[in-house]
Amino acid sequence: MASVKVKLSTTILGKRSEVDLEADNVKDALRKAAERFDGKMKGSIFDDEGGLNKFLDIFVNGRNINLLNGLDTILRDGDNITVLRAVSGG
Amino acid sequence: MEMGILARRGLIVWAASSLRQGRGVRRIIGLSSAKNEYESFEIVVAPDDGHTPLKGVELEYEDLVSQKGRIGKEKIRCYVKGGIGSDVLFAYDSFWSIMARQRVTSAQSFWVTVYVPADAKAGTYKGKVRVTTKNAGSMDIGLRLRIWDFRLPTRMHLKTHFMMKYGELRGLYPNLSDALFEETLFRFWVDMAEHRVSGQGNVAFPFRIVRGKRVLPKYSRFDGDMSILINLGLNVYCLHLFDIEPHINPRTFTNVLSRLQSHLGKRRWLDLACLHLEKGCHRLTLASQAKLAKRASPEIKVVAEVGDSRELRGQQNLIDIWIIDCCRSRPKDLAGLLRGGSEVWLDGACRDGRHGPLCRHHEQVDVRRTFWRMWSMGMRGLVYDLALPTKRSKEPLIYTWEEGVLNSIRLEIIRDGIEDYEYLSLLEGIVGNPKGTGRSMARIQRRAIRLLRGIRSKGGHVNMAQAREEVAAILEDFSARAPRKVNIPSSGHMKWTKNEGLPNRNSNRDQKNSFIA
Repeated sequence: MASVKVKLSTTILGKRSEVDLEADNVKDALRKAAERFDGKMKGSIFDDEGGLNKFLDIFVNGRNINLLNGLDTILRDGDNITVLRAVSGG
Repeated sequence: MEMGILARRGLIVWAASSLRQGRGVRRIIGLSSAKNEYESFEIVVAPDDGHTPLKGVELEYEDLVSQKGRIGKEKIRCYVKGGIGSDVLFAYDSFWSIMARQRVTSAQSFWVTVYVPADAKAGTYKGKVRVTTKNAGSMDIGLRLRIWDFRLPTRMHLKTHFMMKYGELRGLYPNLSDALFEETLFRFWVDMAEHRVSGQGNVAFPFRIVRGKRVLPKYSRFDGDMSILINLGLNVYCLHLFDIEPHINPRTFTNVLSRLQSHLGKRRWLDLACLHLEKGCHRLTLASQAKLAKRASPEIKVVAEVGDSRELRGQQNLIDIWIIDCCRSRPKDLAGLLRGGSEVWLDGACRDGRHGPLCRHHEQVDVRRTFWRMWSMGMRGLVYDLALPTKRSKEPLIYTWEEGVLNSIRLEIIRDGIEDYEYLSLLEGIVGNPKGTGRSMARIQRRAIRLLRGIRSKGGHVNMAQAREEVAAILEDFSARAPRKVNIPSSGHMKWTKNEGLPNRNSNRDQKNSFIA
């Protein structure tokens, strides 16, 4: 398990929040973050089928997980996961 | 490559290379890419009679598949080309894109970018892009992607400094709260990194200066920002005097620089650090800035513009990096600087940006050719300080929307150009690689030297594409035979001298031409 930091956008929790936790991969980290903030979030990180909510952008150390291995991206100690509301320009 | 337009009753579809602005029609688009590289192409959709609207145009793509692996469709991004008088790209799911796709009455272009992950398997991948409409059926464009067996590094050889002042950027989002603006800033970093560009002008300044005298360190925010950016591939941290303060006195200036050098040294970031000398500081002339900087922080490189060389009054030898203006500097200025052993960067946005080599009225192939010219002329960096859509910029590379960031086609082409430059730099590395022993390696090195000698600025799109393929083939051969696979050496140690029989890039015929593509 890697020690990572998950940063959640202001638009998800009403204020910017960070949580330190241990996780193997991005999915694991997001699941734990969702449990930690259970009931406080506007909407959900995951959709009904367990996939990522398509209105979110997830970054690991500034890289979009779509360009890595998606939710299966392996985490290392010290990684920063940033969860932002998807904003598609224009 | 299968050429021609796909047509059926009511609908015409064709694909085009990213270099040809919708021309050069193809039914199957062929791309080649290294690992960790982006490749783009264009798909154009139009009604066959030129006026009956196509309704509800959609693009769907599938995974690219080969015998060895798969590239997921999430690595493919699509944009709608739009905006009158601009080359802005709207994200596929965005409001303007949906509006444009609802009703297409003339040719509508879609820009598609494929990212090849660093761990992809080499080989030929196939897939297709399906164009569907509500009233004229659908059509498929074939997509063939060859992945070369070598990988581009995260940090590019071509140094880039795309100036984005924090204040200017904040002014573009006046309605955002500070917290949301921080998120937007992060989106800028990600976007610039995905275009291989160091856009670090908005990194928090690591000091607070009280009343122009007292210097208080603010390292924690600075360190956090820098760590993210370095992970994303930042290759220049350029400090501008105005970031410090225009009213700064010599003592404070010296204090800031020596503390900055010490801090960057501790973090091992000194190789990125530069100080850009600037006119307009009330107490320091350019000459005294250079002198003080070298005394206080000898390891931080000093950057000055060629146009300011007279005002340096005998201190020109203290300058490590010269920025040459694409319009006003003369080729002989460049030759002189290179002879003197200076590193030279190109300013791609002189005046208001409308006349530079990266401006909108140039063909896409010409914008990309700039990078080949920079390589063949021996330039090591690119500066662009008009990337944001502010009043002083007529040629922004990035546009803004709510809290989002909009790209432009030129920014995509700039990324392709920077990746081309990387290919050439990796090839340079092979020529000088001390591990290159054995017959097969010697053969590869000879091929590389021959190719490098022949490379000029590669005029047409066909020449450029061919040269790129040849370079990639050599890099792949090298990577397959190198003692440790894929570790293509950096070209940083290369010395180009006539005595070694290597191509002397600084004396090629391009110097006789203007810098403008």
